[in-house]
Amino acid sequence: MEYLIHLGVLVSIYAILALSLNLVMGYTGIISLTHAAFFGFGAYTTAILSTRTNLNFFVTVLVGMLLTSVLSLLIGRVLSKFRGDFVALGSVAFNVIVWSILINGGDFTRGPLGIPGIPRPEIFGFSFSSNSSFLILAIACLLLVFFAARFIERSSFGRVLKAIREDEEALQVFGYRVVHYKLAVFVIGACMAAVAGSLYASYITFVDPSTFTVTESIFMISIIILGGLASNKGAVIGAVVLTLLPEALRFVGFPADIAAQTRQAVYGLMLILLMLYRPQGFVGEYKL
Amino acid sequence: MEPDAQGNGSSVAKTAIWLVILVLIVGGLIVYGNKGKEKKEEVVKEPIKIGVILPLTGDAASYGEGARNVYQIAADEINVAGGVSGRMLEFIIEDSKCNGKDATSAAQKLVNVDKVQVILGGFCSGESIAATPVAAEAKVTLFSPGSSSPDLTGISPYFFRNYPSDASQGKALADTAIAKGWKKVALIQEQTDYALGVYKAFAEAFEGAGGVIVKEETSTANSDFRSQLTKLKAAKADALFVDTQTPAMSERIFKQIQDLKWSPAIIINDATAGDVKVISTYKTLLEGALTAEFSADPNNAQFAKLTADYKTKFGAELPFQAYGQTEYDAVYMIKAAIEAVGYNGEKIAAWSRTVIDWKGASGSVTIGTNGDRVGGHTVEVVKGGKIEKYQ
Repeated sequence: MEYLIHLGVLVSIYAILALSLNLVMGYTGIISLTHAAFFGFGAYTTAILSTRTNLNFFVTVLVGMLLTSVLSLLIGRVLSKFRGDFVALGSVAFNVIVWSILINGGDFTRGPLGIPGIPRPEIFGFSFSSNSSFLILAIACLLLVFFAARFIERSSFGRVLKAIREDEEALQVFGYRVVHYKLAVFVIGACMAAVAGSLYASYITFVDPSTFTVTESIFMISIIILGGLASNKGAVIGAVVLTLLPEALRFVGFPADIAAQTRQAVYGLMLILLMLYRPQGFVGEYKL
Repeated sequence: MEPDAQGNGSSVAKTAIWLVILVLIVGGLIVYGNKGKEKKEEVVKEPIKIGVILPLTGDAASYGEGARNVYQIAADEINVAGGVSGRMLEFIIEDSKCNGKDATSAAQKLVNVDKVQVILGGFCSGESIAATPVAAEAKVTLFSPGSSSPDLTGISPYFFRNYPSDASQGKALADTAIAKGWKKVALIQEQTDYALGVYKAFAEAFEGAGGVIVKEETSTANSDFRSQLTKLKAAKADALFVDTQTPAMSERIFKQIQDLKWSPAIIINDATAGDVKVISTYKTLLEGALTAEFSADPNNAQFAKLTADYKTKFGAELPFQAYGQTEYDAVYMIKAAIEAVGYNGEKIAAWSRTVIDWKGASGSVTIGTNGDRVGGHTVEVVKGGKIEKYQ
């Protein structure tokens, strides 16, 4: 049961990440590989503030969102100078930069040693120290993000985002300041990822830079592509499947000396098959 | 919205079908894969399950491979000789990819699904730090033969390790410095956690015995140390401790010590001592320099047997010998623990604190009340550009 609760928490965290990336990539069509950096930024903000200043977890979440929005605004400004595929390349570079800062941050980020002993959240004397109470908190955050994403998608703002994805130039002709819309959704997505980061840090109670590499960004992209781009439900389904699939494969009795590698290979094979036969993902309405 | 709604309806159905297919495939694999296992279990009665957390895929996989092989050698030896109190040892190996997230998932699975009482791992310090709360919550022992971060010292009563903390060399060096009659040591420390950890342990032991330390710090980005070195030279200390994170940093400092025409007695940490090239390049300056490393002893009979067995069984040299020796010992220590107190995580954790002078492939193992291996680093000396054991 504890194991399932643990997986539930991981699924919630990755669903938040997928929903936020989906806003940027699925609805607006910006291929961003910087998402793990924002995830990490939120995680490190909570890690540093809650281990060194005793600030309440929920305050650290807000600070993390604020700092991440500033960071994402700067990164977004630069990325908006790029066109087409170069956005993706540029975003890889930013993920690497943020990762390098984390790993070379000296005493501040404690480099590759990471930051241990991050406390679980507490509010009005109630502590989310048990995994089941943490699951409730994670699901609550997930619901908030889900409805926020749905609200954005269905608003006039959301319709402009989809239009950007379909034909940016046409929209400019109509007099829309496309850059502003793209920046706005980029910052919103980054803020949501920061929330996931804070949850992650206080759940695992330990962060180190290895969790926030470009590979993690690619994993998030796999989630939304598998679930279906431009679908909030798809993002959640993708997170459920991609988080649980490797865990389910732990129970397959491969021979011990090749088990880990075989699991990875089967996992990869399943993704390829899914993409071959269902390229728009489970419930996607848009193909890359 | 209308055509969209229709599209959604059919895609939900399709999604459901796809999910069902996925579940069937995975489920089928699980049933099929476990078929053979159950048959085996009928023959061998109730094996003792030991959880293993290792990085088997990803950047640190080469460490995980070696570790798994060493565990297997040790377990095979034990099982051939009749097992532990008549029961066979069986590993349940989980991949943790050298990161905290996968290590907690692995630990959760081992603790709550397989119900193991003791877990070997993690290897990377990040794995052990993240998995400790999971193990402690379930009163399961977490026993790491590879994590060296000082953050793990005293982290939980349920955690212990037979690989020494990075800080233990600081103490070993201080003890030798005191034995040499040194009263005052000048120290230049790079501002990194590792170097800081070594300094803290050194200072605690050295100042505790009445010694005086004159310390200067330098950032990793710095390449000009003349002002710090001039101050340290003026302190007229008995020795200079160059406490850096990388050999490259030490090399720059050595060069500037020579430029100052200063030839103090030198102490270096194992990060520098591990670099053969630096040691031989600066052999004149470093003649007689003290250092401490946790290295394998080829004259240890058990260790020699392990390296020989590894070669016959896997057709390759034992990789990462410093880890191999502790990994081999770890399996035997678990055997000793189970024989002494039974298969119970809480009791094994308590037992670990009573380990004194346990003889294994990595020499004499003593576990302190903080769960760390006591000592472990051997003091060495540089002679003619080579490192030898300090007598």
